[in-house]
Parts: sequence; C-alpha cells; structure tokens
Amino acid sequence: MGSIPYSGGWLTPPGIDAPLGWLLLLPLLGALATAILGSLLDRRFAGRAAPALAVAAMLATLAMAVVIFFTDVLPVGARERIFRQPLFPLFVVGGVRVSFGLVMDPLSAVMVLLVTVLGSLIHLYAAFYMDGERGRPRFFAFLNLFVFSMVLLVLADGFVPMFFGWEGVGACSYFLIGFWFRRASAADAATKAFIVNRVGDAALLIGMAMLLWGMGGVEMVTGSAAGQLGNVVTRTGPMVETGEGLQPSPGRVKIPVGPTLDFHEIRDQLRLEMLPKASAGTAKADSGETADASHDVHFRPAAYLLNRKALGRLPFIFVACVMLLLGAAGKSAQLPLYAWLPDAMAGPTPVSALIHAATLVTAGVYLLARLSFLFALSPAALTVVAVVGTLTAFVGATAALVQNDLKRVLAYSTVSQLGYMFVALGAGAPGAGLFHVVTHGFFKACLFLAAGLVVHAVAANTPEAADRPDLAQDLRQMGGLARQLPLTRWAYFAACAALAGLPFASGFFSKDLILTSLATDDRLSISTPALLVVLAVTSFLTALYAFRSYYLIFFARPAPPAHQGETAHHGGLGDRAMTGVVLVLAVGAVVVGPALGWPDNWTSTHAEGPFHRFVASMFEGDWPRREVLRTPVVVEWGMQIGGAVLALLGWAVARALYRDVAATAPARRRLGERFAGAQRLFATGWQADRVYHLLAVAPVRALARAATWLDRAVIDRAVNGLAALGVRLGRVAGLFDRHAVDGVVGGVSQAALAAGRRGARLQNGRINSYVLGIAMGVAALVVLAYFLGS
Amino acid sequence: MTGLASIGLGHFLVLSALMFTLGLITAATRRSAVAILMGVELILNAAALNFVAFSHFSRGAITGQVFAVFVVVLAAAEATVALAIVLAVFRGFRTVDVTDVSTLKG
Repeated sequence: MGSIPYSGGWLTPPGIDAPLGWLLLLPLLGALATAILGSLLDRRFAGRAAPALAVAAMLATLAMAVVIFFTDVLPVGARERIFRQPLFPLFVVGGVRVSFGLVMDPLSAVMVLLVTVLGSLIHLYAAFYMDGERGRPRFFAFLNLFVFSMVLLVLADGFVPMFFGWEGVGACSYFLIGFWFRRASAADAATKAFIVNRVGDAALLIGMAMLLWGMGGVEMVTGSAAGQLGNVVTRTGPMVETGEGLQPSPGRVKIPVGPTLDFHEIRDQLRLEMLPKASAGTAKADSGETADASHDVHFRPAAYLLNRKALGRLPFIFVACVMLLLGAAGKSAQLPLYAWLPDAMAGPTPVSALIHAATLVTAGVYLLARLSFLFALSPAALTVVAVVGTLTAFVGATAALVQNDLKRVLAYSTVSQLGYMFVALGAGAPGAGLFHVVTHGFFKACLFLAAGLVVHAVAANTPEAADRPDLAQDLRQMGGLARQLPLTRWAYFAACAALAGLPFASGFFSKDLILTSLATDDRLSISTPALLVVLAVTSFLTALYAFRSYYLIFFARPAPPAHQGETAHHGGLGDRAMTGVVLVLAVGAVVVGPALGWPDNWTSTHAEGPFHRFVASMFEGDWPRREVLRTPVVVEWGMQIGGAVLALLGWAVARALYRDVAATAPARRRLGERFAGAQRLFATGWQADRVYHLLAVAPVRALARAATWLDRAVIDRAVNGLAALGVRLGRVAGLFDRHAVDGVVGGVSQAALAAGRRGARLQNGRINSYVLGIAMGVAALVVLAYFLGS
Repeated sequence: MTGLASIGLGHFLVLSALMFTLGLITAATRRSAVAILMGVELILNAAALNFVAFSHFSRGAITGQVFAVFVVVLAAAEATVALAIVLAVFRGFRTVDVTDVSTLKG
C-alpha cells in the first residue's frame, strides 16, 4: 500500500483540501438569511420567503456534502479517507494548544450525509407543514442553525469545536421545542430538555477534563539529553498505522504528544502508549539538526490515563469513560437522562423528526463511536455502556407500549432504539451502531412525518382539536384513517416494519448486526446472554408497540365521517409534497438496510455490505480482537431467524389486539386489569419524573428551604442585631452631638450674638457720641503712649 | 515788640489747647451739623496755631508756617465739601440736626 504521507499525525493523509468549511458556512448563512431576509420579505412573498431561503440553504449544503463525498471521500483508498482541515487556532493554555479544525473521515461522512439528506427532506416537508403558522422565519432560521451545529458537531476534529456544535444543537433543540412558547407545556418541555442536557454536559466536561489531565503523560529521559527536553511537543516514531495494527513505517512519522483535546492526537498518543514495549516503547527524540541517537526518551503519553486510580480504587480511564458516557446519555436520552425526550415532542412535528429522532439524539452515539478507541481500553466502561443501552431499550419499549399520545409512542421508541445503538457501542461494534443510526434515521423520520400528516388529518376531522392540540395526537381519537390517507398508511407500515425488524426491512439488518455483535463479544464483564434475553423481549415489544400504533391509527375503528374540508385539505400541493417526502423516506426505510449492509453470511464469500466496508477502516486497529474473531455462522443465522420470528410474533399480537378495538375490548380490559401496576409504571416512563424529583428537584428544593431558613434565622438575625446595635450607637452619638457638639457650637454663636448686640449699641447713629468716642480714644492712646513711651 | 516778647510759647500752647478743647466740645455736643463744622474748624485752627507757634520759637525754620498754610487750605477744602454735604442733607431731610439723620444706622 506504499508509504503514508505525513502531515501532522499518523493517520493524516495527503493534504487534500476538502472544502469542509462550506458544509458549515452554507447552513449558517442560510440561518442568517432566513432570520433577517426571511423576516423582512416574508410579508411580500406571502410567507414563503423564510421557508424558501431555508430549503435553498439546506439543498445547497446537501449538494456540497454529496459532491465532497463522491469526489473526495469515496474514490480514495480506504485507509486514506481522513481529511483534516485545520481552520484556525483557538487558544493556548500552558502546554495545551486548542485549535478549531475539521475532519472528514468515514464516521463524519456518514453522519454528514445522514444529517443533510434527512435535513433536506424534512426542511422540504416543514416548508409545507408549517404553512400558516406564525413565526416561520424564527422556525426555519433555527432549523438551519441546527443543521449548522450538527454538521459542526460531526465534523469537529477535537473536543472543543465539537462542544460548540454539541451546545449549539442543544440550544436549537431548546428553541424549537419551545417554538410554541405560549403553551406552558412547550415552554416547560424546552426547559426540561435544556436542564437535563446540562446535567449530561457537566459530566461530559468532567470527562474532557480528565482526558486532558490524563494525556499529560510522563517521560523518562536518559542520556545526555536529560534535562534539556522541556515539554516536548514533537517526536518521531518508528511505527505507523497500516490497518493490521502498528507496523514499522517506511518513513519517519511525527507524533505530537502532550495534553491535548484533539481526537486524533489522543488516539495517536494512546496507540503510542499501547505499542509493544520491545519495538516502540522508546520513541526517539526528534532533536532536529542535532540528531543524537544516544538519547533514549521513554515517553508515555497516557500513563496517567491508563495507570492512575480515581474515586478511590476505580481505574482513571473507567471513570473518564463513564463521565463521557453520561454526557452522551444526556444527548441521546439514555438511562438515566431519558425523560426529556418524550416531553420534547411538544415541538412541531418536523422538529421531532429531524432533531429528536434522526440526528441530534444520535450525537451521543456519534461521540462514543468517535471515542471508541478510548472505550476499547476499558472493558468495564464498555460493560456499563452495554448495560445502559440494554436497559434503556427495554424501558423505552415498555413505555412506548402504553402511551396514548402518538408522538410520545414514537419518542419512547426513539429512546429504545438509541438504547440498541448504545448496546452496539458497548459490544465493541461501533460500525453496527452507526448502521442503526442510519436506518433508524430513515424509518423514524418517516414515522414522525407520517404522524404529522395523520395529526393534520385528525385535526381536520375533529373540530374540537383546534383548542386542544394534544387531542389531534391522541391515538384514541384516531382510527379508520386507512381510506383517507392511503399512501401515508403504506409509508407508515413500511417504517413500522423497519422499526419492528420484520425480515428484509432495514431495521432487521441493523438490529441483527447489533445482536450478533453482542452475542460474540467476549470483552464484557457481564453475561451477554442476559442482555440478549432482555433485547429479545425488547424486539418483541418493539414490533408490538409499532404495529399497535399502526392499527390504532389506520384501522381499529370505523372510518370517520368525511369532513367537508377533507378534499381541499387533501388535494393541495402541500399535502402532495409532504406525502411525497414521506414516501421517499419510506422507501429509504425499507431499502437502506438491505442495500448498504447485508449480513455477511448471506453471501458465499462472506463479503460485508458497502456500509460496513466503508466505515470499517475507521475502527479497525481499535478493536484488535474483533479482527480475529469470525462470528460463527450458526450464531448469525440464529440471531436473524430468532429476530424475525420475534418481530413477526409482535406484529401478529398487535394485529390481533388492535385491528378491531371493539371486538377485543374485553380481552384488553382483562389484560389491563391484570397488569394494572405495570401499565401505570410504563405509562409514566418508569416514573422517571418522580425519580428526578426525588433525586434532583426535591434535594434542590430542600436545599433552597434550608438556605431560606439559614437566611432568615441566622443571617437575617445577625444583620438585624447589627442594625439594632447601629441604632443604639447612633442614639448615643446623637446625644453627644446634641449636647456636647451642639452646645459648643451654639455657645460660640450665642457669644458672638451677644457681643454683636452689645457692640450694636455703640452704633447709635449719633455723630456727637462718635466724636466723643474718637476723642476719648485718642486721649487714651496719648496717655498710653505717654506711659509706654517713657 | 516788648509786649509781644513777654508772651512765650506757653501762652500759645495754652490758647491752642483751649481752642482745641472748645472745638472738641462744640463738635461733641452740638446737634447742628454747621455747629459741628465750626467746632472742627476750631480744632484745625488750634492745630495750625500750634504749628505756627512752634515754628516761630524754633528760629529759622519755616516748615511749621508752611504747614499752617496747608492746614488753612485743607480747612477751606474741607469746609467746601462738608458744607455741600450739609446742604445735600438739608435737601433730603429738611434739617441739619445730626441726631435726626440716622437712616444708615444698622
């Protein structure tokens, strides 16, 4: 494969100048234009300016992403698909140099394509869906800003720029959940999402700080160079990444070492640390012109990270990974920070589809996939990830089973599916998790957008829904819509099939891959069969709740009476366009899986699908054992058949229970009575709100009360005492003032007054007496002079 | 001259002191502004008489007599101004009684 050219890190390919900046600039400009021009021109163009600008910016971003993908990413060799574009330095603190750089590698490429493709479709849908709403410039500006932040998040080549995007998507999510901020529920949901995410972000920051601290490293310098090397920044290393682990490189490679927040630098340093001691434990110092081979510098960049303990006896790296996991869990609505996502459905449906189903919530998955080289070093952390994912998948599925609000069903379904992705990450198969991100993005976006059409139709059918927006989303209000929305029905069915994992729909492939990865994983320190059983039950439940919503929407009850507004509502351009978008996504939901990632046991040569071949280069080398492990064919077939059977079973049960609710009412009532407690538990999302209340809200309130008490009883009393003392002192000072000071002042003035009064008597205005006075005075002076002069 | 020779400096000084005292008494006791002026003239002339007497008996020096001329001129000027004031006071108050002219008293 020839030598790997060098430009900054082991994995840095030749300096192809991928125009990555455009991917950020276009949606950002779109957001600005929509916010400013959109508002100014909105009235002139009958409210179409803002959506048009936003959609145009989005389509331009999509075009740019596709062009970059097909001209820069895809044609080059698998190992060279990493383009770095350092943009500008941000700041230097001590030895830490933080710069703003972008990276395009298979992981980023997949995420960027997902975001731009789904973003474009959903922008298009939203342009029609939001027709007639107030505040559209605001809506579309934030939608574009969201795309900008998300692209920044996935393109960032370091924790710091990624964190900009991370917070950006959180802020946009907040603004868009609270789009109808006049509704108290929407405003509360936005606040809740924001605060729950802050909890995760705090953990993420702690994790980042631990990494930064842990990467400081130690170095042992021997020979004459000892004492001359300060905080060494650059070394040459003899090893290079070639795909089959580290091999001696044909040329020399520089490895920047020292504390860093750049993803690739952390990875390079960790690999340097993990090198076999014999070959590369001693990296030669790069002393430039004065090359002196007699110095051996043993540099151990990640010594703290790998060998230290934290929180008592826990390994440092485990704690750091758990902190990062908690940060990812906040964004991706995992246990224990999942309860904000169902509430986030208070936002408009396109927002739910784009942000709270397809893209933003996968940011956590993306982060852990990006850091999989780090998690690979801590099997314990991987176990935590897998367990968290499994439990979340189960909790989400059970909660989705009993919700009456259509969008909440889909939200809990998202929680559950994100759990599957975390299972994949925990099982050491980030590729499988990423695949599920993609398939889930398509079928969940399809489900949400179809739900948006359904909600519109229900709102048109039931006039009383105008006052109560939640009524139009209530599954109990729906039923029999199959005739009214035939295309939407089939799209919804296709997406449900993908979600449930019916054979040959895309969810089937991605979920199967996750379960197979889990079944063959031997790193986890917990019995994988237990997790597998829980996930199998979850698969059944997934099919059950998916098709429950399907049957409750489109069948269940007799068709509603045709409303007079129906034809006008249904035949419009907007409706056709939205249905078109939904159909495109439905096709995607079915096709993406089999087209991109068929299981390798389906081909005679065990060739993996193009998706896996594409992303594989991203993760190989991080997971050395997976290279050797070949999944037994029996396991693969077993997983696939088992998954298919469970999904079909769930479908069958859902069909039996919900196809005609009137006929099955007694049976369902009996079920409901038997599992009343469980139903209550599930309906509240496993009491997450109560747990938050107990763990966070109540303590904070108690703290507030304690602080109030302290304030009143101690501080106020002390302050009041001081004040009273001050008053007393003041009184004493007043007395002194009145009697002593005023007495003196008054006495002086009185004396002056009296003297003046006496003196005034001399000035009687009679010249004669003046003359006499003068004469006597002169006489006195003369007498005085006579006596004094002698 | 003999009669004159028997008169010594002491006589002049006594006369001068007598005139001064009379002038002072006049100025201090009379209520008419004109009378007070006359008293002041007496005082001035007493002083002038002193100058002339000392000049006469100090042989040769005429400085005292020159001073006496100055005093006369000064007295004339003073009488002019003072009488003008008295006239103005009379126009304003219809009286020259200084006890009635006391509007400037505080």
